[in-house]
Amino acid sequence: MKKVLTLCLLLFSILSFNYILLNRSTIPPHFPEPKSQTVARLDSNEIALGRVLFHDTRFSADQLVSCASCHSPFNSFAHTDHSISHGVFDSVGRRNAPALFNLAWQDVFMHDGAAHNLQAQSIAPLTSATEMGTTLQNVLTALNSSPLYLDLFKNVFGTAPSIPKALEALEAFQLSLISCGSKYDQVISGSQKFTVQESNGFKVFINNCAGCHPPPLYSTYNFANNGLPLDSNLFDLGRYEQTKNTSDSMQFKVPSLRNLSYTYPYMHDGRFQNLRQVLNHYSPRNGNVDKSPLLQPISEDDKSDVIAFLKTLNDPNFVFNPSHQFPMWTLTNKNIQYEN
Amino acid sequence: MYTTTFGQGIECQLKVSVADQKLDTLEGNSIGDTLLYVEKLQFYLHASENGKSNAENSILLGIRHPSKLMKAKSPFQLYLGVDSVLNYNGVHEGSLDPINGMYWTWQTGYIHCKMEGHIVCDSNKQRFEYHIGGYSTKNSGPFFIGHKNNEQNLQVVLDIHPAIHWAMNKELFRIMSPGKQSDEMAKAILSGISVR
Repeated sequence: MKKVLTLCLLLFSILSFNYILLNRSTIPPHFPEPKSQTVARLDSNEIALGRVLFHDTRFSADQLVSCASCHSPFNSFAHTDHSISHGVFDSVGRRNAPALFNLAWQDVFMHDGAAHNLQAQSIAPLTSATEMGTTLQNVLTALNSSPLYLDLFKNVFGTAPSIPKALEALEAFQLSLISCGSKYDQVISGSQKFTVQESNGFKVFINNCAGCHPPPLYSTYNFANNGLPLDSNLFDLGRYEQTKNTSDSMQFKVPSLRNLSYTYPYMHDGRFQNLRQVLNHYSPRNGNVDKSPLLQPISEDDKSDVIAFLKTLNDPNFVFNPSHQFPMWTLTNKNIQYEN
Repeated sequence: MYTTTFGQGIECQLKVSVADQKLDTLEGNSIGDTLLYVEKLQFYLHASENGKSNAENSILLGIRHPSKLMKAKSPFQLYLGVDSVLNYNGVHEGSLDPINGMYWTWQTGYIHCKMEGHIVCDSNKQRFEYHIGGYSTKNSGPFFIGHKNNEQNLQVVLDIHPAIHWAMNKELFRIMSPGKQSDEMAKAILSGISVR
């Protein structure tokens, strides 16, 4: 009886969050139609299960790493303060984990576009030796030996846990991560106004940066070579590693510029610690063009204004949304309630 | 209790051979002076009904699971591999469950065919691994095998000799990504397949 009561409380706590309804009426009018077909039929129960899976460390080889380890909700689901993200047994990868939001408007994933499908993408970090270092068989065994997941999968899907269903739930959770509540969005909707500095920064930005980072998503989500020199240790050739086309060498997926205050360091290998360094890469202070800058030189004052504008793209309501965070009750009570 | 598969689908049986000899996965198979050891061999067989894509019409056949039930109803077109629609739509259940190890994570999409093992020649051991797949590049499959009508069962005979012969002649011991070599290997595998 105690177990039944606990289960009821558990399911109620998981399923009672108010998730964003993902349809045209809840997406800002200035946003385009999502590319994802799945996003229109997201189920809040699947999202809730995906959230639990996303934060659970039990699936990694050392049981210490979860998806959220490198994609922290408090950092707009990026990995801050690490140039290169690390995984199980203190192994180090080759790239800085990208931020996760507005994925419904994207059709390829990861810095080099290795994944064409968000549901399938989760297999990569799960099985990468330098990320979670496990096998799908081990994941399935962990799911099926957990009373918590046996109950959750039965409730959500009506079936026992399976890898495709787990991936589906992870996809649902990630698709639900929509950031559209920044000051910029409020300016567009008319409820806020830019300061003079932000307004000038926006003009400079539109004239210089919007080719690759157009509003409202602030990325084309295409691939581009932004002139970064090759790191001879990492030897990361980006998109080329997938396509083997020489024209794709050093091309990386253009990131969105939303939530930059939470996602430092910057670039695919986290080589820049702050936004001033980023702007100096594109528009060197001494006018040195050896770095192949994509921008025409802009003044230091204009750079400050651009940074002021970029900060209007921060969305603290998204970053600190409790329904994205570690499902404390579900995961911390599991041992006490289920594994006697 | 008596059960029957009648009406539930088409029984598919795989027989693997090397140059018309039954494949032996434990003792090694003699090809001239070379001993061939096949440790892993599996591939997708996909039936396309009226050009429609259906995950239930894909079965994974291999030396460790040589018999499978295909849900398709005749007539259909038979392919080696997984079609682009199924690939595009992500992962699927059943034979297409990624837990079967037939899914690429670094270049998402299903692997049409896997063959791994080693050869021994003059006391030298050489390992080989062939993962043939991809869906986004030209000619990457799936690969047409033939039209089938009014089938109740299918016997799939795979002679791996043409593929091994082609690869060894070119000294290609690892083909792990889509591209020209993968396409040519797929054609060599295809030339060893017959379905009765």
